[in-house]
Amino acid sequence: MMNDTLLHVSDLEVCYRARGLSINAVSGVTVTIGSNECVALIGESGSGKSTIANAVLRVLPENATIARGTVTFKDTNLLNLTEEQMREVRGKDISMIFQDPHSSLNPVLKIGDQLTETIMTHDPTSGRGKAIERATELLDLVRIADPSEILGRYPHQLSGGMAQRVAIALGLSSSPSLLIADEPTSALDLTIQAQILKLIKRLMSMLKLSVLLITHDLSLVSNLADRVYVMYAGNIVEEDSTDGLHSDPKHPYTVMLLEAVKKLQGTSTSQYSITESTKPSEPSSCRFHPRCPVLISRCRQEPPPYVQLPSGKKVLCWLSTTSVEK
Amino acid sequence: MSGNVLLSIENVRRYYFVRKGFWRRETVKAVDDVSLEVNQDDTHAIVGESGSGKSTLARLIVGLEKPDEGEIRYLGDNPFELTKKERTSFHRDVQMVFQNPYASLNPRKTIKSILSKPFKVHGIGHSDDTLKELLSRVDLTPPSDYLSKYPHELSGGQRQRIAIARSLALGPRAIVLDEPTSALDVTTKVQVLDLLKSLQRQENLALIFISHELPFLRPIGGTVSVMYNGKIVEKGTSEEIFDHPYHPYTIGLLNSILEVDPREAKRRGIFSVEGEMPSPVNPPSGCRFHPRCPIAEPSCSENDPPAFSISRSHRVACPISPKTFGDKAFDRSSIYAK
Repeated sequence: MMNDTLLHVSDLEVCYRARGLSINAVSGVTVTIGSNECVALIGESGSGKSTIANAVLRVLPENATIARGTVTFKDTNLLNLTEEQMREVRGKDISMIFQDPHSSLNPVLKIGDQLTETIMTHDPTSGRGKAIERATELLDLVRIADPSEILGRYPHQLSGGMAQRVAIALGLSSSPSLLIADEPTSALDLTIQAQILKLIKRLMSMLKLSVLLITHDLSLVSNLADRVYVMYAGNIVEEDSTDGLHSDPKHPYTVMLLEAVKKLQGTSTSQYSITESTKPSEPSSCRFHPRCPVLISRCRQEPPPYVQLPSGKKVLCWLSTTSVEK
Repeated sequence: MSGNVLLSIENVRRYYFVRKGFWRRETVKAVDDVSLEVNQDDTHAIVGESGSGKSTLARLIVGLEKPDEGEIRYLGDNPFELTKKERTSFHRDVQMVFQNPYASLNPRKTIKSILSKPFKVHGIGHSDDTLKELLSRVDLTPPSDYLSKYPHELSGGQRQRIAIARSLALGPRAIVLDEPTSALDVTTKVQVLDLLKSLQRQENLALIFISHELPFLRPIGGTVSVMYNGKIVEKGTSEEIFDHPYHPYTIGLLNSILEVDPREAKRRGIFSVEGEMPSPVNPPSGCRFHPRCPIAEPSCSENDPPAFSISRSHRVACPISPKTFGDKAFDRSSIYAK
């Protein structure tokens, strides 16, 4: 597994400066993605999952700094590249799609112009004719029924689902090996969400694509991801295979997430207490302890260690350390 | 049944006119011939995707919009035919909670001022204790902590509780909730839905949920209406809709719900209804779902199918599905491709 590692984010720490304060959005996070693997980062809003994606592509806002860590993509630390070299990586090796597809499309350019511009930028040898051919091919790939008609349209003339297909086509134009999908279906309706997920799944197997899926939706993870990292307040609190996470959740936050979904769908049988999201506590303790239904006194005093269990699962929780010691 | 009807909507239409260029005007048929009845202490969920007309329907129910055709009746009276004075009791009794608690609370006002507004508008006296009681009814305790706060000091869940408290202020008989939990994290969704359910039990309230989050509507129970392109295509009890759906669109929606268990997800795969909801400017002829429908017959593009009854509470606007499936339980997934 380790041999075909595509992306390795190691010990990443990102801070935001706001009103004279420095806030750790992501602290000491390690994430690995193999080739042709789909890895999910799941967490609620503000947990730091999008910050990781933005740090990988180095598109963090002005007031953010990467304080520590490395981002290794195919043996290169992206954090050491110049801005010019980084521009080569973006779009060409790593692409990103967003929750709002219209944000990745230029509103004043026709779809055809945007696609051909991108194609010709990444491959200066291709002429306009060849670029149009490739653009049609790409729209075909994302299952748009009438590519030549869509090429002549402006983004505002497309529905949300159609725009997300175009955004995916744009992202795939230079055959990247990694696609970062940040809440790719959260803005879409139920029937369109299913269509887009089917498309991403198909593209993953057709193009041997690796996907970093960023989401708050467990069912998305279950349907797409091979492995999953659960995030809470800037930390990874649990990592496991998607099956392992579901059948044997260990971190109280993971258990709570699973129970919440079951409860919402009316299939819950347990009485596990679910607590509303609140401001996380200070990093000098377990950041989840104010919401934790099973906390022990130690959780208030020291931050928990990240331990690996015999199954391979890793958990950031004092309760799991005691089970390892036993 | 009709003895305790609180609100009824009869053959309501609401069209919007959009200018397209200098001469052309287009008609958006947002709600097209919809009828609905809400009884006292009923729960009614209206489900649909964006563009189905569900939010327009919500605005019609609370009187924020006037129907172009058809009637809204509250306790037998059409609120638009009442005098202004008589209409205030309608507005007091039928309240609304909006989707986005970040937008529906004025950021420059304290919680105290936000909660006293309904009393001021309706000229009803109130004290701090009245407001504190409201806060404790939505489980914001201790209430005195909240009165002097501003919305930005509260989490999304707490803000939605404030919005709910505000809707409860004047002792309403019905609350229309437009996507009340869509903007919230899952754990917070559970809390807010629990609150709504317990309010419903305690307060004798009719709750009307407008939502696109079909998977989460099941435990709410009550009646479910499914909307597509401005029309209600199927209506029934929660069990009827979730366990014995007939309309191909309802079946497709239920099929699009993703499995949460990864092994189940692998076994089942992802089903999807192909195509997209047509524009309400230019809806397809006949049944509006027919271009996406896997069991459509030639007649579907000609006649707008009338709704007919499967049971006393279950109505479907599709003549083909019941004919195909009869009244036996059938494999819902069989009509859509993986």
